[in-house]
Amino acid sequence: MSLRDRVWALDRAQQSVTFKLIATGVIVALALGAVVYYAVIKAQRERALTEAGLVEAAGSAAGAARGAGDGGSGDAAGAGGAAGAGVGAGVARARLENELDSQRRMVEEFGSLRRSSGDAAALAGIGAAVALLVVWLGLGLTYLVLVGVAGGVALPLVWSGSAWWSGVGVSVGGVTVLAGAFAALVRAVGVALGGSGPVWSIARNVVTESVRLNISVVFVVLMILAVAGVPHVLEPTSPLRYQVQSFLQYGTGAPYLLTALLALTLSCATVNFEQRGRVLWQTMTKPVRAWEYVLGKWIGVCCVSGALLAVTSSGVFFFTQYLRNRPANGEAVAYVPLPGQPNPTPDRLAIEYQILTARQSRLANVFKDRTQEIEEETARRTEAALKDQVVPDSYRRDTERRTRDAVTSELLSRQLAIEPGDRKGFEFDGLGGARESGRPMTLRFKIDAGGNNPTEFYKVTFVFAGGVAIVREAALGQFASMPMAPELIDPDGVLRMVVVNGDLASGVANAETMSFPPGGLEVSHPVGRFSGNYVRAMAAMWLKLCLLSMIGITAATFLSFPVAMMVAVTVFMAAEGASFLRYSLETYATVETGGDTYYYRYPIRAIAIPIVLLFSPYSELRPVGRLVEGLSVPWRTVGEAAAVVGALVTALWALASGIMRRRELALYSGQ
Amino acid sequence: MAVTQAGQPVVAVQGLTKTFKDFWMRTRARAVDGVSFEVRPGEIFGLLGPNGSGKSTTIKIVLGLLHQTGGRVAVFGRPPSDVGIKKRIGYLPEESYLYPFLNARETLDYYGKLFRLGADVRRRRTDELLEMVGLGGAQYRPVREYSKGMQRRLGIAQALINDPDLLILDEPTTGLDPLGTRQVKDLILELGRRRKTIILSSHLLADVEDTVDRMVILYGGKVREEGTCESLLTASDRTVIETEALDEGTIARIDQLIRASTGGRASISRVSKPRQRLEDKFVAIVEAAAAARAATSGAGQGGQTAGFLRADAAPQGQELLRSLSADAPDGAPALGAPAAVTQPTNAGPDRTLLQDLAEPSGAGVGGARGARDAGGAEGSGGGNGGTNGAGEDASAAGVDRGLLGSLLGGERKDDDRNAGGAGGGGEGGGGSERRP
Repeated sequence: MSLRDRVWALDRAQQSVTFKLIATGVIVALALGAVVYYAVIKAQRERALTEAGLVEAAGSAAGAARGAGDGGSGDAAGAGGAAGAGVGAGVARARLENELDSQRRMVEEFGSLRRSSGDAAALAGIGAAVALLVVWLGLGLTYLVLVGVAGGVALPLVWSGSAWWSGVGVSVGGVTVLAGAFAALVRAVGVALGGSGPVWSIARNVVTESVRLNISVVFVVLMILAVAGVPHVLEPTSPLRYQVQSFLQYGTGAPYLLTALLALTLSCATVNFEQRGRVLWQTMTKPVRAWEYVLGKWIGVCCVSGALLAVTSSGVFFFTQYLRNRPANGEAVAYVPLPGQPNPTPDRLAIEYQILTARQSRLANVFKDRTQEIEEETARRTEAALKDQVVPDSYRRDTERRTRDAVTSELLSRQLAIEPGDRKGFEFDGLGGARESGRPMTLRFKIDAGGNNPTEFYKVTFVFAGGVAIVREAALGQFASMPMAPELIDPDGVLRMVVVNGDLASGVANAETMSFPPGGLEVSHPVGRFSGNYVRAMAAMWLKLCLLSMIGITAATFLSFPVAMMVAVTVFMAAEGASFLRYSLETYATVETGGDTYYYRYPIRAIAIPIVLLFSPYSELRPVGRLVEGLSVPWRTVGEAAAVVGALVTALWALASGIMRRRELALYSGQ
Repeated sequence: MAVTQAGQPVVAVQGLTKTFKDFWMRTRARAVDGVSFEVRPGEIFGLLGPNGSGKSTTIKIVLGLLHQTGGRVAVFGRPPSDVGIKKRIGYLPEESYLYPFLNARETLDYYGKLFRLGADVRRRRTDELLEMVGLGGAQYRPVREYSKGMQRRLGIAQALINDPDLLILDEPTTGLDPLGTRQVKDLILELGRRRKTIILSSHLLADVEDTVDRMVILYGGKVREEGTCESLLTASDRTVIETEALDEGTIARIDQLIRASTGGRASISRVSKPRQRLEDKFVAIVEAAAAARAATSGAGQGGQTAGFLRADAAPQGQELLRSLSADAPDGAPALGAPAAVTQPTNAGPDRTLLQDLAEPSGAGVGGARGARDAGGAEGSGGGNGGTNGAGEDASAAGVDRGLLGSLLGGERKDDDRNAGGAGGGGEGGGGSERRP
């Protein structure tokens, strides 16, 4: 039997139902075995930690702190109490009670995470799903050979002992897994789109085209290389939170950008090349309606971008979880601090409660009950500025708007500034849910003072209702955070807090006036888990890609490829920057100081305003930004985005279909 | 089958005008100028004209790929923009515009899906069409690796995937080798026998002449001539006679006889020996090589017409054909009647034709067309190149068959070929050399 015959025989074998059933059993058994094995390993590690006293050390550290707090004496300082002697012991006791309670809950959560085998189960589940997909597509043996070859190349490199070669080996393995998963997923998409009829067949053709067209392959290869390579640009000596945040930033941002460019290129190319190559003639002389053609193309591009996003985002997710399970700064192993280190360590606190979470944050409501004051001051200053002048209404409105901005900014600065030894009250509303959840919150703040010398530290006291006061020392100009118990929130869902510029316990004030920059004082509380947030963020990103695809297709129905690409990329940039555009438009006046009218600005505003209105929901979605900052991407936001994107896509679909129907398809002017 | 109402043309073009304009809406070219014609059900209709005469533009308007500037176009009684009519149309553009990244099987499957054909139907038709166009051995190679001729074959296959009622072929033989050209012509004739309506656009005169029933000749965007091949091509004042080889004396006696019979008004003006045509020689060589299983990476020889396209694939179609021929008015060609020269068999008309054509005196493609045009009319030939309907012409000219036999000095047995081809030697018969 020749080699060719043997290959054919193997191919027939992997296509047989018997082989598929046997392989399915093996895969399921392997996945279950992997989860059990991982759970056993975890249990052994937990026992080792206990024997080493590390886990108990963490508990005893908290206990010791509690003991110290209990040993304190004196009256608790009242909320808003002035800095000074006599309240120090009370402040210390209240601080400890609050912090220890928060810490206790965090330590419990971390212990649960440490012992959990959930990630392993998820990884095994997804791996098994991909493997089953491969087997039932009739590619089981092919992929087995592929894995064997890749393993044969990668494993010796990983075990070579050289860090550089080991990294290369890991990259080879990563690229193989991602490329293999993408190929299998695309194949599965092709099978799913296998129905008869124009829409599905055109969509499937786009998927096939994307895999076999050089321009798409370049993007796919680039993206897989980027995702596999990002871990190697991380600085291993930096705090883990920075590594996690950097990886999330680049690991999700770069693939999104590349996928967006792929979606635009593919959508323009798939329509335009067909016109230029006249292949369209043979499609459109079949019983294919214009709307079916456009819809089929769009579904195809969406499927390709979705498959690519699913594969890259899965890779990023699991590597992020891998990073999360490495020891943070000050930890012996993940979630277990070294003796003498706070529990949780600041690094771990930031990772778990600010980055790898789904939190909602509330800024201090400094304008509460100040609206009338702002309006009155605005009116007074506007009148003074325009006194005895006859100006157009539009100029008056512009002046009022600018004056209001200035008054608001001044008020904000005044409200957020605190003299040495002085205090100021702040309120954070809408925190009823956080109180009910019972999960620890975090207070995030940044202090500006003088020249913001980063080597200089200020002590600040946060006093809450009920006499709980916490003193914190923070570097100037740097964000700092601290845990808080949710019971500090009033039953009406408002967190009331007084900030003292100094150490209330010792009665020492700071040297200069301190202030919080806008956005520099916020309370955040977890409303979900990172995994769920990640899925929602990816869904939001895919929605954005779907809109981009339709933009590209619409442009390509009446423009040549280069022009369509230029238009599509411009719209993409305008859509991404719609928030910035909106901000810019607020100060882009058509009538300037002195009453001069700038007529050329009218058309610019006329073009910019609809773009801003159209794409603001798109721009404000910011799934990557929110994910990296640990902010929640709620389903409601995703749903609203889906509605907006759906409306835009439908409008563009109607436009593209109309163009296709009216166009003389035998004419192509884009050469 | 076409569901066109009785008497309604499949394609009706009236005063069709198309002008191309530049950016400033100034007329740049008038590609079609007041063209009118009708294509009737079951007709093979030719659009003939030099490059730039408006053939392709007319076809694109009929297909809805261009919009007319003036005039009216109806396909199956509907405007070209009606997507519903496209279920019944097969189209082969002047070049095969195919997806380069698909292979032949995927290409046919894709177009089959556009017609909402079921998976089984698609698979069966794909197999048959690939076999028919000789791409069975190359079906898994990407189309971008195909030669122009192979792409052309695939283009033909995709145009037939829906078993169309109206087949529009724009320069169908461009890029094809002689064998492929012959097969395409046979296919057209086969489809014609199934009462499919075909519009054939070409500037290759032989393609049109061999196959069409009726044609228009375009030049400068206008119709210059319109009519049947018979009416346009027959030289009714000439007669061609073909016999076995004659010596000089016999020829002189024949000449004398003709002079005597016509009172000196007619005589032999030219005598020549038939020569095998290069096309036939080529086909014979290729067939011999294929029979010896010589390897090729290109298109195969091609098989018989796909089952679903053959006349025997649709009994009801045959019934209709018979009824139509029975209803044919006196003097009209008897459709569907047995062919006189080369009987097209259901098992494989193309092979029969090719074998015949490989012989020097074989009946050519024109034989099939002759059979279709003239049906069982005795003496109607498979002639081409001036021999179309030569049998009828011979009869009309009053040539005495008995006298001819005596002059030949033998009791020659009239076989089908001779009977059908009294002067109708077909393409292979060197009819052109006998052309006065």
